[in-house]
Formats: sequence, C-alpha cells, structure tokens
Amino acid sequence: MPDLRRVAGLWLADFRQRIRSRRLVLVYVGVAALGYAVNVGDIELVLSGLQGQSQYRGAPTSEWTGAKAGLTAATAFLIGGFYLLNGRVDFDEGSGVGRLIASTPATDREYLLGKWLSGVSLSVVILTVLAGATVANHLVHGTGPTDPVSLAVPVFLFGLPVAAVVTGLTLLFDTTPFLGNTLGSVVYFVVASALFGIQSLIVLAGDVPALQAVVKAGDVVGYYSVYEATLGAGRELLTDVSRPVVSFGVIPGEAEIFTWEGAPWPVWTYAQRAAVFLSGGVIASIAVLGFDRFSPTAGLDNVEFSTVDSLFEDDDAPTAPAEDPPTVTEVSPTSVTDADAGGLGRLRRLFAAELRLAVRELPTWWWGVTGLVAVVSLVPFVPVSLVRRWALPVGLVLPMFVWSSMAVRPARYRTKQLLFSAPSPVRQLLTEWLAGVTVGVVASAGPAVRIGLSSPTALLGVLGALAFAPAVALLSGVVSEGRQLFEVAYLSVWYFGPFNGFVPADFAGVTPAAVAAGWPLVYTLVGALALAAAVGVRARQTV
Amino acid sequence: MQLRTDAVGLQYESGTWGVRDVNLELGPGVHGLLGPNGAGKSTLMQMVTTVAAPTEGAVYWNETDVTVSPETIRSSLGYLPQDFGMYPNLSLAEFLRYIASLRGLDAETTDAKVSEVIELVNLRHVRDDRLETFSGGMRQRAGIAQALVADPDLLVVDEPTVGLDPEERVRFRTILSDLASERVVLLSTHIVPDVEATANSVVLLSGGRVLDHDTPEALVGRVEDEVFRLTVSRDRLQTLRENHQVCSTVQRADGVEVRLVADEPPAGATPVEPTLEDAYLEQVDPTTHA
Repeated sequence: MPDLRRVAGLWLADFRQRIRSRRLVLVYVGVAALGYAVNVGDIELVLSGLQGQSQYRGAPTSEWTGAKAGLTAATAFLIGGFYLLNGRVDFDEGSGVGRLIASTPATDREYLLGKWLSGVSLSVVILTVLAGATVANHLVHGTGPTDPVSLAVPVFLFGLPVAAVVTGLTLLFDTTPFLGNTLGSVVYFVVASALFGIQSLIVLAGDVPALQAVVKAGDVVGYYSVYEATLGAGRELLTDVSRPVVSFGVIPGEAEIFTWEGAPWPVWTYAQRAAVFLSGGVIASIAVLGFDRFSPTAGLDNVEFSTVDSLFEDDDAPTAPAEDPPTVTEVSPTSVTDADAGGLGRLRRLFAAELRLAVRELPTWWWGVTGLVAVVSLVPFVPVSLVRRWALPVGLVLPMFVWSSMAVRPARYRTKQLLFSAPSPVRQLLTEWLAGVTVGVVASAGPAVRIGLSSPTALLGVLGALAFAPAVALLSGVVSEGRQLFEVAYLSVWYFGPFNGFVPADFAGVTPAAVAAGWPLVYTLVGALALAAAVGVRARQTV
Repeated sequence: MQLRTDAVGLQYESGTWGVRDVNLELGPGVHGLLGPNGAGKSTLMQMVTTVAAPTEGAVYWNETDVTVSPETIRSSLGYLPQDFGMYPNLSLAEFLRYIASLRGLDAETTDAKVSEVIELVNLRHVRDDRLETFSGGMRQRAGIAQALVADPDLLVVDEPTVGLDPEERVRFRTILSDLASERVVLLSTHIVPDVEATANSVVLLSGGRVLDHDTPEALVGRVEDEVFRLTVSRDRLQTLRENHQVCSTVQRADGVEVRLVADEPPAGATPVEPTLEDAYLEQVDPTTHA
C-alpha cells in the first residue's frame, strides 16, 4: 500500500514545478484559442449521410458548443497532451532531483503515482482554462442562453479521462527502454492517430451489439457518446438515412444549420469515462515494471548522472597512469596565431563536428531501415508511384530522429555557455542546419533518386522539404529548447500531408496535385523564413 | 592585453542587481575573484565572456567594447563555466576538436592543441573514450582542457578545481601560473588557498559590488597584527563569535583552538601570521563592516 503522505509530497512538488513554468502561458493561450474556435465554427461537428446527403451543423447553443468543446478537449489531449506532459522522469534525472529521490524510502509505485497525479492535476488546470474560454466566447458568439454547466461539463467529462490515459502513457514511455525518445514520439503519434480515427468505425459497427461494444471500448475520446446523444436529431434531419454520420474536426463545405437543444449523455457514458480515467492509472502502474531506478534495493547504481552529479567520482571510470604528466613548459605549446582562420575549411570542420554529433545519437536500426528504404526505392520493378506514395514519406520521417534534437543539445547537455562564448554562435547554428539537411538527404536518397529520374519537378519538391523541415526544427529548438514542439508539429503535418495526401499539408510533393499547386515551394519559403528567424533568435540570445 | 570593466552591472528580471558598478582593469596574470555565494562572481564572468549582456556599463577587451563587438573577445577567449556539460556520446578528443572548430582553429593546429591539452590535464589514457564513461574529476579536467584548447589570451575559469583531488588541484594551479605570464586569467573560486597560490591580484566581491581589489600581499597586510590564536572553552567560543570575526576553529583536548581577527587581542590570545583567508573573511563578514 503506497504511503499517501509521500505520494502527496511527490505529487505537489512536481505539480508546483510544472504549474510555475512560464511556457505554460503559451499553452493557456493555445487552449483559449480552442475555446474561441469551437464557438465560431472553426472546429465543427457535422451530421451527414454516407452517400453525400446534406450536411447539418448545429447552431452554437450551449449544448451543441459544449459537445464540441468536450470532443475538442479530448482530441487536443490525445494528440498534443503526450508532448506536453512527457519527459517528467527525464526532468528529475537531468535536474538531479532524481538522485535525491533515489536515496529516500519512496518506492517506484509511489513515485510514479505522484507523477501521474501531477499530470492529471495540470490537465485539470488546462481543461479549466478551456472551459472558461468556451463559456466566455459563448457569451459573445453563441446562440441562446449561455449555460455554464452544458458548456463546461463535457470538457471535463471527455477531456479528463483522456488526460489521465495520456499521462499514464507518458510515464510508460518514459520508463520503457527505447520509447523515451523520438521513437516513442513516433509510436505514440501512430497510436493516437488510430484512436482519433476510431470515429469512422462508429457507423461501420451499425446495430451489431458486439461491434458497438468493441468500438465503445476503444473510443478513448468519447465520439460514440456524442454520436448517440445526437442520433435522434440526425434521424429527424436525415430521414432517408438509416444511420447518420457524425463527423468532428475541421470540416469544409456548406452545411445547413439546425438547433440542437441537447440530450442527456447516455448512461453508459459515465461508466465508460470512469473506466478510461482509471485505465490511465493502470497504465501508470504498468510503468513500474520497467522502472527500477528509484527502488531502495536498486540503490544509486542505476541512476545515470548527467548534471551536477558529475562532481561525484565514479569508481568504474578509467584511472590515470602512474607516470607524471607534463607541465605547460614541457609541452611546448603550439601557438594559435589566428583563431579565426580557415574560412570554408573552418565551416567544413564545424559541419563535420555537427554531423558527427547528430549521427552518434542514431540507433543501429535507423541505418537498417534507411538502407531498406533506399534499396526498395531503387529496385526497378517497384513502381515509382509506390516509391513516391510510401517510401518517400518513410524517408521523410526517419530524419526526425536527428531533426528533433537540433538546437536542443546545448540546453540538454548544458553546453550553452561554451557555445555562446565561442566566435560566431550563428555559424554553429547554420552548420547544424546543414548537418540536418545532410541526414535528411541520406534518409531520403533512394526515393529522391527514383523520383528525380521520373520527374525533376517533383525532386525539387523533395529537396525543398529537406531544407524546410530542419529549418523548422532549428527554430523550434532555439525557441523551446525541447524536442516536443517540433515533434508534435512535424508529425502532424507529415501525417496529414505526405502520409495521407492532404494537399495543403503535402510539403514534399508526394501527391502530384501538391506539386501542381506549388505547395512544396511555399513550404520551402517557410523553411527559409524559419531559418532566418532561428538565426535572429540565436543572435539575440548571444548578445 | 587588457580586460577592463567600466561601471558594469547586470539587473535580473526580478529587479535584483546581480552585479553593479564594477570597475576593473586587469592585465596579464592571474586575477582571483573571491566572494561568498551570490556575490556576483559568475554573473561578472558571464558578462566578460559575452554569455550575458550588461544592463549598464561596458566590458572592454583591448579597449574594444565587447557588447558592441563580441567577436573581439570571443576569438581570444577560453571559458570554463561553473556549471557546464559535455556531449556524452563523443570521445574526449572529438569533443575538444568540436570546441576547437567552434573557436576557429585550423585542422593542423587543432590536432596539435588537442594532443597538448589532453597531456596537460593528464587524460591521455582516455583521449578516445566516450565522455559518458568519465568520472566527475575527469569531466572537470576535460572542461579545463576545452578552455585551453584555443590557446586563449583571456582565460576565464569559474570554480575550476571543484571535484578535483588534491594532487590535480595543485597541478591545475601550476598550469594557471605557467599560462598567466602571457595571458589574462580570471579565476573565480571559493577556495582561498587556490587564489593565494596563483593570483597576482585579488578582487573581493560581495553583494554584487567590489569591496577591494589589490595584490594578495596588500590584502594580507591589512590584517597585519590583527590575527590571533587562542584556546578557549566552548562557552567562551560563543562570546568570541559574537564580538570578533572567527576564521577557524579546531577541537583540542583542552578546549577549542580559535583563530580570529580582532583590533585588540582577546585575553590569552597570541598573534599569528595572517593569511589571505583571514583578510577575505575580515572584509566580507558583515559584522566587522558595521
């Protein structure tokens, strides 16, 4: 049985640390913008049929807007919450607090339970901001009376269980080998995308109870509850449709407006939401299995010292030889006559050093997958359309393992003062970008060659993408000093664009329509602006 | 070769001044920065190394304002911050080459300097080992090596001997002394004997301001005939603490041996040779300033 006082101590300390972060202000601003978007119709809930029947949007009553706000909260946490809430175990390790906790009687379970409660508490604060923004915006933009209960309750009913699950998953990923880094971000994004896509299975489940039960069980967000609550209205509007479709998201196209006065949430919803919430705690408990660092029996040997811990001697470290080292005069030091010499040679050396840093972090399997993508792409009997549609997107996601660390390393490894006191820190940033471009070229070389042989214009799009992505990564790293911002932004654009063929997000020109519309060129220009902005920010950071 | 600060100060966002109105002129030699925690030593060093911009005043390197032209000082600088990290996946030699490329050394010079500084800090046996395998003391020596790799005219080292064993500490002092004849070395530390052994001048900082700046001999001379030793009971020790600057205490069989600074010798006290630590404690202790 966990010691509740210890759990409370761990929870409060972590929560206070998180809630006082200045960067959280940006999250509040983003969340408040969501509260605006659900009221003015940028985020929509639409009733329609499968065969292209008319679309119906609800007038922004409190009930309709509340339902949208609930789904928005849940979806936002599902997609973005992971990147906001993860890395807490790493944080304790990096800040040295982990070492202190390791020496206390706190068990792994207590530690992770405290972290989970802290993540859930922070989520409550964020959801409260969203609920408040939803109510406030409804007063200005809504239709009919503003009912705070109808507007705010769905935000917590749908959002909080998702936040609990996502918090549990962040702990599970943080404590599982190989998942606490970029690979974990990619894996999570795939899982979250699948859970987001479950709304499309609701209609397919039809009236078959067993299928409905399966979909409800996997419906972490709560689409099915909203579907059932609005089903009556849908049937009245779409009389020629046996099971109307409810779509949620940014939905283009004209729609007729109807007024939904609301309906009680299905009774099973409350049990399902409670089960989802508790499953978050269960996932956090599972994280204990891969986490033995803070176990009293594990001692301190399992702690990776990376910060002030460097002051502690390591018995396993190599020892010095017995012979006396030379003095300064015995060394006959080489004089550095021109520390700013070299021109292009200097850039080349700096580039080589940055490239070495970048590729050292790549796991062995990365090279295997990259090689496989190249070989498959270059096999003549593989159609170029398949290479463009599948191999290129893979080639564009692989370099993320390097890109997401760009401009983040100085903060992560505390080398900022060394870098910023060196001549021209901006030059270092530019060579880091070049190293990122190079890794991208390596990862996409096979598909790029194949595509280039069939369509030089399409190749330009690929090259533009390989300049765009690391530039955005650089800007993100310089501004946020963390991997998460870039990972969630890039994965989202990559998922909708190159992976799913949504033309405006297709920055690499995977689809011919995107190339024809000039989207890769637009993204290349965005990349150029991002690079200039990154240089500007770094220049400001270094006086 | 001269480092000059002209009424330099830095105010934090909270409104507190980290350093204020600091005027210094430092030529070749080792210049020790001494002060209690929060005195502003690291803040001053960050301004000198262009890591932080002054809120007021200016820092000049060879009469060039480094706030306006930071490149002037950066190309002459070697810097060991108090709290620094390294890339754990790189070997020592690779990390030093990386720093050398940042500092603008050409390939040939880089190879020579990397080998030299690795020899100097006594890490030749681990030059190709990854930094993640290094002990704390070895990491500190690697930090010293990176500060020296570009043969800097200005060497700024913040708490460089923390984590070093006594033998390596002495070695590092010798390295600093050897280097100082042709360089400006700014050494910040809590360890007064390190400054006493190496510094040509000492800057005493407290509360972000310069209390004193002079040679170690002159500073010690200010407490000449004012340092005493006596053995007292534990009860009397408390009284002495309330009335004098106690520099050290040592437990003895017949009581506690006390070393203190006082204008007049307490009863039973005998005068002793003053040290820089006595002078430092006498100056930075607020009770003796009142």
